[in-house]
Amino acid sequence: MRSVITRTLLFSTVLLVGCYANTMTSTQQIRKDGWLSSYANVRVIRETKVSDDLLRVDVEVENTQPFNARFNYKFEFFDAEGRLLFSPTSGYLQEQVAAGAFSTVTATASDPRAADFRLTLTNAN
Amino acid sequence: MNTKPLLSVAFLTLFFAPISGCNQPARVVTDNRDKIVSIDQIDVQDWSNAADQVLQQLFASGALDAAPIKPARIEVTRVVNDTTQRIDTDLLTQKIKIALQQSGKVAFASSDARANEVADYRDFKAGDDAPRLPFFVINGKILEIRATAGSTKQSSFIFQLNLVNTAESIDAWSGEAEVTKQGTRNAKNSRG
Repeated sequence: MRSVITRTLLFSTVLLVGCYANTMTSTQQIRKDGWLSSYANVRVIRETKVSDDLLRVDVEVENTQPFNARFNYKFEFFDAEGRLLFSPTSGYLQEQVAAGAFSTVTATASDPRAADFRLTLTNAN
Repeated sequence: MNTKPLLSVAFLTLFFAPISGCNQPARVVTDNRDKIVSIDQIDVQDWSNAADQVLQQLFASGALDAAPIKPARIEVTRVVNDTTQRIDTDLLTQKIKIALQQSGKVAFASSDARANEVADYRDFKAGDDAPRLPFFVINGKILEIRATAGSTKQSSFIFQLNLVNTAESIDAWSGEAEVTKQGTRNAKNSRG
């Protein structure tokens, strides 16, 4: 009987850990995984134009944990038809954010056709 | 029952499993997070990071909009390598070139000798003897700062770029990017 309970508990734990690791919270524009799903608050998203016609995005990410954290992020830009725009500098970048502090991640589309963006935040700890 | 063969199989499995686990078959890496992080040299992902930082500063400055004609003619003159490594600065300038061309704000002067020769000939035939002068020039420098604390090593690479307005011979914009890496040894990836 004891072994059945132990196995059930073990299985549940594995299942829960698995679920947590795969959790992906997502809006159309911002996707988060790992601890970021629960402890990274996206406070402000600013979309502006720089140099006349280039889309710039500023996103403030708050670390609500009581310790410093590190995350990877990647911006992608899309044209009005939803097509991904090539960028020579695209790829994940890493950011550190202190306990309870904010960090602003930014990106500027080099292509004036950029009409929308997607930000992916992933765990780096 | 003779358990010897079973024990041999178990022993071999236990012996070889960790060894085979250490071997990694070659694979194509497209995700920056899976790329090797070296402490004392500029990795491929660092060039993208540096180019991204300076491009964001340049676009935000609006300096490119000062040109009377768009796209404005631009040339990269020299990016000085002041690091201890032998590096090809095109790894930085080509990314900047692609992004700036995408923006439609500038057009890079070709460094191809044959292309220049043909253009000169066409100008000559058309009776146009005005030299093709760039409105902007890009120059820069890459520097390195190292530090150690015990067994922890740190390398900082600083990428400095200037956009010169040749009409007035002034630096219309100056930007700087920094990539700092720290650790006791190189890492297979940056996933932590």
